[in-house]
Amino acid sequence: MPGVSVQIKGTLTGTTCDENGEYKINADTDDILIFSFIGMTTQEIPVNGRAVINVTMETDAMMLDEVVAIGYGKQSRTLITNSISMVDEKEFERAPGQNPLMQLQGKVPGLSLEISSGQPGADPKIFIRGGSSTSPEGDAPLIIVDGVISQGFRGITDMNPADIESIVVLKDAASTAIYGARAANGILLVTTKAGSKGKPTVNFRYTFGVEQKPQRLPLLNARDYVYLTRSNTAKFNREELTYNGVANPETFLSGSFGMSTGNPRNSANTLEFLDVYLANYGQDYVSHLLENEGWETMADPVTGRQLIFQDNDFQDATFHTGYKHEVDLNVSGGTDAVHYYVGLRYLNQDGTLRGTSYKNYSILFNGDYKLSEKWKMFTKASLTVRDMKGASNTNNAISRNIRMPPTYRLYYEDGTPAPGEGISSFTNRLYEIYYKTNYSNQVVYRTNFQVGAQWDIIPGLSFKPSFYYFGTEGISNAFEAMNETTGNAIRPASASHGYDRHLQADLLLSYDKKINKHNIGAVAGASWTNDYSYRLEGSGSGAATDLIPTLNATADSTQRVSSTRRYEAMLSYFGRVSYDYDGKYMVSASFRADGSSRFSDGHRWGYFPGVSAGWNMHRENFFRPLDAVVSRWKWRASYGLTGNNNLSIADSRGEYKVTGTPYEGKVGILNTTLKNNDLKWETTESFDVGIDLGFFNDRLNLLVDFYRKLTYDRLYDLPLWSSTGFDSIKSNYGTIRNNGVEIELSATPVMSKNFRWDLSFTFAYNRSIVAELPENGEEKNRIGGNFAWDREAGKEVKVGGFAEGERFGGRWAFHYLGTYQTEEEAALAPIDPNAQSRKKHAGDAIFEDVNNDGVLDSHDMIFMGYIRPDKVGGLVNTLSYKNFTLRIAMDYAIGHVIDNGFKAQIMGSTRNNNNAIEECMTNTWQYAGDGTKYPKYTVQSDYDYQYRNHARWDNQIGNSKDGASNNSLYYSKGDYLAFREVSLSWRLPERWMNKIRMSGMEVFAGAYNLGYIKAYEGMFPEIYTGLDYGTYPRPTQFNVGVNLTF
Amino acid sequence: MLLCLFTSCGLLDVDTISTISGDGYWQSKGDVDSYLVGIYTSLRDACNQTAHFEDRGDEFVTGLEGGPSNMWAQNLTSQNGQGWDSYYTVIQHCNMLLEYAPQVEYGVESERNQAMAETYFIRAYMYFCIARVWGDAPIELEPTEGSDKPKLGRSPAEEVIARALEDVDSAISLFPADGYVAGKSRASRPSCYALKADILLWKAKVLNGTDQDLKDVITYADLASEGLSLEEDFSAIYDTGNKKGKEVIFAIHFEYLEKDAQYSRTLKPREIFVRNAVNKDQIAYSMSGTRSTYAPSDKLISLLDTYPGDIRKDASIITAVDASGNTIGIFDNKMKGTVTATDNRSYDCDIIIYRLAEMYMFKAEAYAALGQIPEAVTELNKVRDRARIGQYAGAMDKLSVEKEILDERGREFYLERKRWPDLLRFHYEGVIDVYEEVPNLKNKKDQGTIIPLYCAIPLRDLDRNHNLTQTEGYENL
Repeated sequence: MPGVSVQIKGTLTGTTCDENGEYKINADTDDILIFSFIGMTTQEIPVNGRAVINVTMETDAMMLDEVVAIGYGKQSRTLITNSISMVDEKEFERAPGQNPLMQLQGKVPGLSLEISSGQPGADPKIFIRGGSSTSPEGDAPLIIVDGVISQGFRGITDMNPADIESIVVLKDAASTAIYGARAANGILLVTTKAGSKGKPTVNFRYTFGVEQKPQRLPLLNARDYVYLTRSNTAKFNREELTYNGVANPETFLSGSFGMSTGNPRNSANTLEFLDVYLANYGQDYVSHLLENEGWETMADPVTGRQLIFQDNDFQDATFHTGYKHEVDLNVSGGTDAVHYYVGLRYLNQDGTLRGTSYKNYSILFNGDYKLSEKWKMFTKASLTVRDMKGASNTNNAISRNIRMPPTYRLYYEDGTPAPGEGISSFTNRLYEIYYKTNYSNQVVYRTNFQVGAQWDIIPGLSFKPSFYYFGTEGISNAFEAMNETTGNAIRPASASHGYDRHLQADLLLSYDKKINKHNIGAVAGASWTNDYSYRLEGSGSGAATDLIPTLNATADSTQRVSSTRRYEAMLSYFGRVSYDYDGKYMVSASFRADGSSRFSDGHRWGYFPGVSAGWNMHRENFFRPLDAVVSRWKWRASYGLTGNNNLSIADSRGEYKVTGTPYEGKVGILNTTLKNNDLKWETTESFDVGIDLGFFNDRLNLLVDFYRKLTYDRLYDLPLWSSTGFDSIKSNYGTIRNNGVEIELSATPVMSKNFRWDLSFTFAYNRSIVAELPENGEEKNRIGGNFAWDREAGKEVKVGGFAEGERFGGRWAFHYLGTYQTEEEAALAPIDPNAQSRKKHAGDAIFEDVNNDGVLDSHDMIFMGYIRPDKVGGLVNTLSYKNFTLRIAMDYAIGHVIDNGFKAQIMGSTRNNNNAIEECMTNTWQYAGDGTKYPKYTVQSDYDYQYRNHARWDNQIGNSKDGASNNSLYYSKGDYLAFREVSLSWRLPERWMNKIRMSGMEVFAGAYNLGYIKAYEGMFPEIYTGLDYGTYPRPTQFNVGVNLTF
Repeated sequence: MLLCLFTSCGLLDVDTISTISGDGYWQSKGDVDSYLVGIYTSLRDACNQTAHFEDRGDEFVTGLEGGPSNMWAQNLTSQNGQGWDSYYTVIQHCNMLLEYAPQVEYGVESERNQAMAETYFIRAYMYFCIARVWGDAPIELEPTEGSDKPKLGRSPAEEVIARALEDVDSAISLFPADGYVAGKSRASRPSCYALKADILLWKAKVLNGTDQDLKDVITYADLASEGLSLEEDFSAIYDTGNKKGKEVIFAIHFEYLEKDAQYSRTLKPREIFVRNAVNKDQIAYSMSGTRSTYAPSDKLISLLDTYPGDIRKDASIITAVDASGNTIGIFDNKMKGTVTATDNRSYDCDIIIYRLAEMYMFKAEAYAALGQIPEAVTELNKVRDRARIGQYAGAMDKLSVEKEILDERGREFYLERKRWPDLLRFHYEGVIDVYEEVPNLKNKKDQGTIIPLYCAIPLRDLDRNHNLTQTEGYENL
C-alpha cells in the first residue's frame, strides 16, 4: 500500500512504501519494524532474521488515530467535532518551572497565561478565549485532574510535571457543556501517567538548575547618588519653586534621609562630613574605613567640604542567583491483570529574591486491576508537600528594597544586618531575612485518594462508579524577632491552619455499539461534590525571647484567635450521545443539569445543553484524487450553553459578619453583603466552527477555529450609589461578547534519515466587547468613565468604564510634550489642579491642554491603548539529528500597553528617600535647551510636594491603582516575543546502553526565559493589568540533567 | 448515597456556620446588641479622619511628608467630589437595626429602647455631619435590602437638619434613664443633649434658625453638663490613662490592640525625622504607622501665644529642635497616644465627640448671638480659667466677643474636628469672612475662583443615581 511509513522501533530510521506498496529498509535481525498509516492500525513486527516481511494493513476498527480525553470519556481525534487542544507529555518531561501550568504558555491557541510573580511555585493566571467577564484574569478555567474537580488551582499547584501524561484544553461550549455550571471559562483535563503491560521500566532523572534575575537596573552608586541628590536639592529646593512657598533643603541635606549628613559611627546611614569623622573617631579609624571597608570620599557639591560614605549595593542584597536540585524517579509496568505507575519527586529551588525558596516532595501511585472478565478496579493515591518561604510582598522587594539609597549600610560593625531606612517594608532585604523571613514558613500538604470500578455488564455497556477524596492542609507560621525597627507589637507571631476537603462521587454508565457502519456511543451519569473549608488563625506578641517563635510564648493579653468553617455542595446529572457513520459524519449532543447550594431555593438548578457535528470530507470517495496532497479535511461546528456559579452563598442569601475590630472588647456583627434572592446562573452561549486540514500525509496540519461567545445574565457586582450604604450588589446583569480566531499549525518541514524538523505555531485573536448593559440613562448605558476631548468632533465625549459596543480595558493619560525650557514659557502653562494649581517653572513637565480651556483635567487625557493583548500565540521548533534533539520555544503577545509606573516612581523620587537611576543624572532637565527627555529631578517627592510632573490623577479613565503614572511619558506598547526555551538533549545510542544493561540514557541542558524582543522599556512585558509597579520578573533559568531508563 | 444521588435528598443543603445568612439574623436580643456594637465600629471608621472638619480650616499647614488633601488645598472641583459613603454606611446599619429591633422579642422592653436610642443618636450625628459637609443630601430612612432601593434625590439641608433633630428627640425619649448607663463610649441621654445643642447652633447660624433655637442651645448645653467637671490639667483630657474622664460626654473608643491609628497620627513624625532632635523623648513619634502630612499652622500658634501662660500651648503642640537650635518640625502634642512595650507608640486616643468645655462654649456662643454679652463672657471665662489665662478683659461689644469666642474655640478644640464648622458658623453669622480666614480659600479667591463651602459629590454617585444633582457652585469648577 503506498504511503505506509515503516520505521525501526526506537530509532528515527524509517522509510515510506512506494507507489507499488513496496519498501526497503536496513534493519538488524533483532529490530522491530513499525508500520503505520493514517486511519489504519499501527503494527509492530519483529524482524526475526527475515529478509522480506509482508504486512497487510488493516483499517482501524474505530479509525482511531490519536485518542484524546474528553469530558467523561475518550475520543479519537478524527471523530472529534469540538475545539480541543492537547499538550502531551513531551512538554512536561523536562519542565523547568515548578508549576506544570507554565508549560501551556504559547502551546494552546486561545489560552492566555499571565505570570504575576517570579516566586517559585506561584500559580499563573490563566484564561481561555477572553474569559467571560470584564476582568478575564480571574476567569480561570475549571481544572479536572484525573476526574477530580479542582477548586481553583488546588488540584494542579505543586504537582510534578513529569507525572503528567497530557493536558487537554476544552474550549468550545459543546465540549465543556457536559461540565455545566462551572464550564463557562473552559476546561483543563489533566491526566496523569498510568502503567501499561510490560516489564518494569524505571526512569531516574536528576536536574540541576540555576536561576537569575534577568536584568540589573541601572541604579546609581553612592558617589553618583550623593552628587545628584545633594546638587539637585541645592538647585531646585527653593522657595520660589515649591508649591507652598516653603523650601526645606536642610531636611534633605542634614535631615534624616540617605543623602543627609549627620550620621554618627555605626548608625544606619554612613554619610558624614570627613572632618567630623576625623575629629570624632580619629585618623586610624577613618583610614581603616577607607582602606579595608570600601568607604569613599568626595567633595560635597553643596558646601565643597569633603564627604565620607560607604557604597552599598542593595540590588545584590535583594536578589541573587538561585540553585535548583530536582530528583525524579518513576517506575511503571504491568501484567495482564495489574498495571501500575509510581512517581516520586524531590525538588529544592531557591528563588532569585533572597530568602525565598520552594521545596516540593511528591509521590503518586496509579494502579488498575482486572478483577474478573467483567470487573476492573482503579486506584490512585498521591501526596504532595510544598514547603515554601516567600517574601510577604514580592512587589515591595523590587519597588522598595532595591531603591534604598546606597549610603545606607548593609551591615553594622558587628556583622549583623542593618535596617536600611528601616520603616516597615523599606528595609534592607538582608535585615528582613535575618529578623523575619528566617522564622516564617508555609507548608501545604495535598492528599488525593481515588477508588473506582468498572463493570462490563454486557459487551459495549459498562458501569463506572468512582469516589474521590482531595484534601489540602496548609500550615503557616510567621514571627518577627526583636529588632530596632519593630512595630507596635514586640515579637509579633502568627500561625494559621487551613484545611480544605473535597469529596466527589461519580456514577457513569457508558454504552458503545457498532452496527455495520453506524457507531453509537452514549454516557449518562450523576456527580455529587461536597466541599468543606476550615480556617484557624491565631496571632499574638510580647514574647520574652526570640528562642520560641510560636504563639505559646506570646503574652495572653495580645493573643487573638479566629476560626471559620464553610460548606458547599453541588449535585449534577449529565448525559451525552454521539453517533458517526463510517467515521465520515459525526454528531454529538450532551446535556447537564447542575444544582448548586450557592443559589437560593428557586434558582438552584441550571441546565446546559451542547451539540456538535462534523464531516470528515477526506473520507468521501470524491476526495480520492486529492489524497496525495490533502490527507485530511474535516469540518466542525458546535453550539452549547455553559454556566458560571462564581458567587458565594452570601450573595444570594446575604451575609452578617463579625466586624474587623471589636469595640470596647465586644464583638460586633454587621450585614456586609446584600442578599439577592433573584440571582440565577450566568450563562455563556458559544458557537464555534472549525476546519482541520492535513497535507502530505499529515506532515502539515492546520486547525482553524472561529468562535463567538456571548455571556449573559452576568454575575456581576452591580454598582450602587453611596447613600444605599453599599458599593454594589451581586446581580445578573449585562452581556459580554468575545469573538475570535484561533490557528494551530504543525508541520514537519524536513524529514530525512538523520534529520527531522518539527514545527508548531499557534495564533489567537480575541476581541472582547460589552454587548449589553442595563438601562441607566447614559449614552451606551455607560458605567463609570469620564469626559475626554474628541479632537475631530471638537467636543467632549464620555469615554472609559464599560459601555455597549465598546472594547473594555482602555486607558487614558495626560499627554506629555516635554519640559518648559524657560520661566517665560512656564508662565503660560495651563492651570493644573492635580498639582494644587501651583505655578509652573522651567524644568516642569508640559502637558498638552487638549481642549485649550486653560485647565488640565480629564479632557486633556488622551487614549493610550488597551491593557490586554488581543493577539497571542507561540512557536515551538524541534530539531532532531540522529540522537540529538534541539527545542526552541517562543511565545508572543501583541496589542497591550503598559504604564511603567515603576520608572515614574523613580524619576519622581516618590518617597523623597530613594536611589535614582542613571537617567536621573543624564536625561533630566538641568538648563534651557539641554535636550533632555525627563522633567527636572527634584529629590523632593513628585507626589508629596505637588510637582506632579510624573504621577498624575487617573480621573476615572486612567489606571487607578497605586503607583500608576497616568502620564503618556511612561506608557509604551507591551508587544513582545519571548524566547521561552532553548534546550538540547542527547540520547545515548542504544547499543552502548545495552552493554551496561540500561535501556536508555539521555543528557540534557536547557535555558529558559532568555529574554524578549519588546517595545517596552521595563524589564518584564508580560503585564496585562496595564501597570508595572515593580513586578517580580520571571527568572532566567538554566538546567542541566541526566535521565536514566532501566 | 446512591439512592440520594437520584433523589437529591438534601444533598444541596449546607450550613453556613461562621457567618450568618440573611434569613437567620434578627432572632434575639443578642443579635441586636451585636449589631449595635458593629454600628459603633463603623461609626469609629467614619469619624477617624480630619478631612471633613479640619483640613479645610486654618489650623493646618503642610508637614514633613505626604501630600495634603484636596480639601486642605481647597482644590475642589466637580471632578473630585468627596465621597459620603462612610457616613451612609453607618446610616444603613442604623436603618437595619431600627427596622428589625422592634421585631425581636425582648423580656425587658427598656433594653430594646436603650439599643434603639443609641442607634437614633448615631444616625442623627451622621446626618448632622453630612449636612455640614455637603448641605443638601438624600434622607435614607429605610434599610437597603436589595437592588430595588428607590433612588433618592438630595433633600434641602434644612430637612436633613430637621431629620437629625427628630432622631435626637427620639433617642432622648427612648433612653430608659439619665446619665451614662452604658458608659461614655456609648451614646447616652447627655450625649443627645450635647448633640442637640450643636445642631441647633448650626441651624440658628447657618440655616436661618430662630432665637428660640439659640435659647434651646443654652438649655440643652446645661442638661448635657450635669454631673461633669473640667479637668484641672488640660493635658489630662487626652491622657490615655484617663479615658472617659470627668469632662467627657461622649467619646469614640480606641485602644491599643483593638483599634488605634487614630487620625491625629497625620501630625506626628516618623522616628527618622526626629532622630537628631534634642527633645526627641518628648515627641510623640513612632517608628512607622504615621506621616506628618500636616503641621499646626502659624495662625494656630499665634492663637496659642495670644495669652502668655496658656497651658494649652505645650499641651497641644511641640517643636522638634536639633543640637544647633534649628527647628526640625512642629508636631501635635495633644493626642499623644500610648508608648508600647517596644518603645514604639500606639495612637490610641479616643475621638472625643463632646466634652464639658464645649458645652460652656456653646452657651457662650448662643448668649453672644442673642446679644447677652456678660452671660457669654461668664461662660467663656470658665474655659479661660482652666487654661490659666484669667478673665476676659477685652472689648465687650458683640462682634469682639464673638470673635474672641471663635478664637477661644480654636485654642481649646484644636484637632478635635471642630474648626471648619466653627469657621462656617461664624462666617454665616457675619462675624468673619471665611474666604479671608483660610489661606487657600483666599488664594483661590484672589485668583478669581470662589470655592463653594459645601463639598461636591463624586461623579460616580451622579452616574449611578440620576436623581442626584451636583452641589451648587461647582457648575464651572
